[in-house]
Amino acid sequence: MDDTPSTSRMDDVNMDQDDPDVHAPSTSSSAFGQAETGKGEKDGEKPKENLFECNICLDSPNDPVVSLCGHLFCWPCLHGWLEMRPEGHQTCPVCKAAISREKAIPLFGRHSKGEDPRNKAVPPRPQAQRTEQTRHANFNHNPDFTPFGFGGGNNGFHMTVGFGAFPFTFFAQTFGLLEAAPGHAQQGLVSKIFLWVAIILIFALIFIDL
Amino acid sequence: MASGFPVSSARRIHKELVALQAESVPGVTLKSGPTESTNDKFIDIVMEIKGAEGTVYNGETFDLRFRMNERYPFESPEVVFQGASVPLHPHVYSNGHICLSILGNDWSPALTIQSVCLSIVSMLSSCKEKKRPPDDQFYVRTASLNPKHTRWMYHDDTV
Ligand SMILES: [Zn+2]
Ligand SMILES: [Zn+2]
Repeated sequence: MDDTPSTSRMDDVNMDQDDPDVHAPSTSSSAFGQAETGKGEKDGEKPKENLFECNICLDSPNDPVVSLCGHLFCWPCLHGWLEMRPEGHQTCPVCKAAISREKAIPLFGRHSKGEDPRNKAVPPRPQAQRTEQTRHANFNHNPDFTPFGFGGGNNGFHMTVGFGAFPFTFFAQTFGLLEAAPGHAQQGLVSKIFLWVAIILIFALIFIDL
Repeated sequence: MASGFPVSSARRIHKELVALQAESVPGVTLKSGPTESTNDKFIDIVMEIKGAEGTVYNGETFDLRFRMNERYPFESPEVVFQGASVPLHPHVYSNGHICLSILGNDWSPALTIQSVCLSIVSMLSSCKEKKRPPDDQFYVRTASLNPKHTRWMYHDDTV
């Protein structure tokens, strides 16, 4: 652990680069003025090499923390990333080493108050929406288009059987299907159809019982 | 400027663009953008990449469209080849979709537009034979416009 923190090891993405030839910006980026309202920083000039930039927002870190692998982040940025990963599958964005909240070390400079940023309320961040990250086994190179239940009808039959006894299982399965294929238009549609069928069946059962 | 796109995401994209222009990498240039969608849902950037010397794509140029949503960089950008020339490559579908793990479940917020471009250049460079993926016809007929809606399996990143 007393290894010198390595600089970003992104060998898998960065090809060997010769010295990047630095030249003046050719296109103006002023069209993107909104970002400038964030912090009063002079962009447009050649950015200075800053060794102490957050590896996520690329800015000087706010509530800095360092991982055991030596990579620097803002606590809010790292927290945002950790939140997206299931526990036990949290990896350093830079080097993919295992990482967790407990293993992030807060850094305190001369003027910091010494409050552990990990105990602070983290600013509201986007909600996790992508669930496929927890389902590594389900990725297919050949993209998978088979909508659940199409063709075979096995799913539908199976669920209908289970339905009378465990209506909530049905719902769980329906939502499970939605999660299994986020954003997949066809599958979403099929799931919705199942949901409606379920609702109709529930009403049917209620009225039959009455 | 539109107000719906989060400042943190916009700021990060802005910083990347400044860096891209300040220290250009051979064969990777900003072609157009950033363009914000009218509904503030995403920001588009088009990058031009050049096939590296000594590879089967030598002399060819390709346009890569990056589409960052408001969850960028926590969520990967949507990256597709666009325009007339989509490279003939076993991991590139003729609709421009790319089977590359860092664009899916190997995405990391420490990756940038530039590092993604370099990965794609490197993916092209390691190709020996120009051909489409075997399921190209089927995929292109049935795929969503957004490659992130496809469930990919990345079996061989060295082709
Ligand atoms: Zn940060
Ligand atoms: Zn690390």
